[in-house]
Amino acid sequence: MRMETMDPDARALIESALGGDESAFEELIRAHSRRLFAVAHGVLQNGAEAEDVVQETFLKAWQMRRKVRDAERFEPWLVSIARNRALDVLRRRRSVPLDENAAEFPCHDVAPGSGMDDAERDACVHRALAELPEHYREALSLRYLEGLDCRAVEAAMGLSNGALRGILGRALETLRRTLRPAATELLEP
Amino acid sequence: MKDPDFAAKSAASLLGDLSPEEQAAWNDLIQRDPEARARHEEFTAMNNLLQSHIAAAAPAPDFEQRVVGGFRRRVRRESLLARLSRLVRLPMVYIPATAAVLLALVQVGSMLTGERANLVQTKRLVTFGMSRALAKDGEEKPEMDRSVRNGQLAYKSETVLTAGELRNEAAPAVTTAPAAPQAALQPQLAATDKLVSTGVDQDSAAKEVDSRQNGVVNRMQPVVGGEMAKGQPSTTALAGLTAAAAATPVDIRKLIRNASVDIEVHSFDEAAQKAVALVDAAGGYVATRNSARLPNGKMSGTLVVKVPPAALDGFLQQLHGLGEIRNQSLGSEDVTKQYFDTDARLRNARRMEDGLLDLLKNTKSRVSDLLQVERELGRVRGEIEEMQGQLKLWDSLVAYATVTIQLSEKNMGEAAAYLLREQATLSLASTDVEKTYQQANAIAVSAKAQITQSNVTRDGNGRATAVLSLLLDPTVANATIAQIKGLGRVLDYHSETERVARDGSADATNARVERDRVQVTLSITSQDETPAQRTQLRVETPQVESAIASLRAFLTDHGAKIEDSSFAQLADGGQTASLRVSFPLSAYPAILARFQQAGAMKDLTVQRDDSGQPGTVSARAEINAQFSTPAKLVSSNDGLLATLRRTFAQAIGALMWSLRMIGVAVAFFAPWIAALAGIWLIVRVIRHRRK
Repeated sequence: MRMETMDPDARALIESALGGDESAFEELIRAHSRRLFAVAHGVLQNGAEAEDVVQETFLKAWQMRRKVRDAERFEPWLVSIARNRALDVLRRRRSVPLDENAAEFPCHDVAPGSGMDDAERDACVHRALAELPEHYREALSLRYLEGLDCRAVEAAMGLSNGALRGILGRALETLRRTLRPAATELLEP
Repeated sequence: MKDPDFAAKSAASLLGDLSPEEQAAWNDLIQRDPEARARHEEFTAMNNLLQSHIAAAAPAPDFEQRVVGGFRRRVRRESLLARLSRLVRLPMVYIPATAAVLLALVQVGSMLTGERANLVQTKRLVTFGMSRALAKDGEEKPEMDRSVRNGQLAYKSETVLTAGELRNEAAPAVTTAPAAPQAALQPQLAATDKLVSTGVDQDSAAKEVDSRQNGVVNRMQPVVGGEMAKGQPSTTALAGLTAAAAATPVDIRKLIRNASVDIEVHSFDEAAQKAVALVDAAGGYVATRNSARLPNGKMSGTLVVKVPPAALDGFLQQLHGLGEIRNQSLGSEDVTKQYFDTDARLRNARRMEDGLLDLLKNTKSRVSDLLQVERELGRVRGEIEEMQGQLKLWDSLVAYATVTIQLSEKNMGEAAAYLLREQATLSLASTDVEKTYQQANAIAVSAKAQITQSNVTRDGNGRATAVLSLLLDPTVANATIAQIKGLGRVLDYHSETERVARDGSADATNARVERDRVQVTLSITSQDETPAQRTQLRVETPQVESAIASLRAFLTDHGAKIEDSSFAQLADGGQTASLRVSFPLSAYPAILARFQQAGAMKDLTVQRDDSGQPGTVSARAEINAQFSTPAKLVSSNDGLLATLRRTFAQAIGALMWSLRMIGVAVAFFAPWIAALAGIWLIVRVIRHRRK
């Protein structure tokens, strides 16, 4: 996510925030909170936890702001804090299923044509996503939640060019395999 | 449709990530292959599902505001502990904090062990010095009293005793003293006050005050009797004495007065006559008189005279007119008590004598009883006579004061005569020592000299030396010495005349001067023993030892004789050596050149004796060389490296000591910390089990 050139106003804002200006830091919070949410949600697949992670990320960034020497490194540093924090949360709940409701719903055993309600479908999608690696989920989240284009997602995550299509293909394949019994309904417009 | 990348291509198509060519090929595939189309449609449906699922998780529009609000709350509610822990992460905080903790541990360890580092000891010494200075000024502070140890307290008590040289300063000085010295001094102060207040003798009281304030406490004992020494309050003794003095009438006091005067006078006879006249005028008499005349004609003598005590002071004053008073003393002894005790005993003895006489008159007694009474009577009479004699002696001593007048004429120490003593030392070099010796002996005999010592010795090399000591009559001394000088080459001649005062030490202008016999010490040595050329040089070389070793070999090869040599290794690593060699004068240039090669020549002194015959084959030369290593610019004990070495050693020592103290402190705290941790762990486990 390293920016080759940086807007002077943005740089001034970051430097002011790093110097201890709380209002400038709040401006940065407003500018970066959704991106961090997308990263955290991609890892955790949980909105409330992702929001907590975003809160903690900004608090930690505020406390450790003196460690940042270069304004251009601020955003990657922020994203790495959020990602590591989200992974910490994920590690802590490893023993607990990603979503207990999703785990309990038998997506594979749905009889063709028996139909699925929205909640059941969401649970199955959730479960399919849970089977993907964290960075796959993060990439999809940045694409569909933050609305970044392919190149921006790849740049933000340090992926090679064209890697996102493979990630999405893998995700779609997993999703199709998971929801196969009810797939016919999904094909309905 | 077995394309393994079908899913990726389908996903790229859905993402719009295909190039126009790829997109065209993909569309063609979808159109051609129904299976591919069906699968793509499935993927499309899944993508829509995924997109809608993920998009549904998008945060609410007020998400940023919530995050900002949460940030504000959490930043402001940040606990003191969190701030502290963040603060502690700063190097500028945790480094000094760690140092402070270590220092605290060191202090705790030091407190537990009672040890002090060298630095602390130095500080204590400084404090001790301050306390000494303050104690001398009489301004010692109580805090310092507590801080100093026993030795310091002892010092201070001593200082306080010797501190007050003025009477007014004595009391404040005592108030600062420790309890014991103060208690010891208190009776003395009371005694002093009593002396002054009763007004017995203002002068003696003042003297005693001075003596006490000078710390010589024992001097008070003659005044206050033995009671002070026994530790009893002296005031009682003094009060008793002064009361007795006040109650006793002056006329019955028995005081024996003595005086001694040392007077320097111009003429003894004249002064003695005046003194006798003064004695007569005072109503006294001359007890003894003696005089003596010294060899320088001066007279001195002693008059012991008796004068009535009442006239003593006036008589002494008149004596000042005789000459210059050099010494004077006046003393008195009070024998009142002893006198009246003896008198009372005498009366008792007389009564006993009367009783015994009555017994003798009783003729009915047996003879043996009579004899016993006779013996007792004899003893009592003996005692009576003895006591009567003692009383008469005291009466005579009391009736007349004894004055010892020492008269001596001025310049008593003036010399009566002077004696001129002349001593001459003569060294001759001769080719034939024995012959010269015999000639000198013959000259001495012809001059009727007294020969006190003479000897001729010949060593293993055949070289002879002779010594001849003479006492010459002063009238022929100069001629005789001149004759002896002509016997050989004079190496050294030294004459010294001393005037010796006889019968006195002070200068006397009119004393006669006599010339004593001249003492001549003649030494004769072989001509070739004395080098014709002496050279002294100093050489600096880094390797003194090797330079000397190589020189020795060279000198031996050139026929030189090493007379003496020395070598020393100095404490700073330097070396010094000395070498004295003698050799034929012909080899001088070569040997000197070799010395010059041994190192850097610093000093060179050549002394040549041209009075002899240096050109002869037997002429010899001598070189006295001093070798030393070049002086260091900085002493090895004061240089930078030495200072660094010492500093480093001290630092290591201090560090080791600190580590030991930390170890002690940790060992002191560790069990408590472990116990607390154990309790905390147990409580936690119990709580966990309850849950």
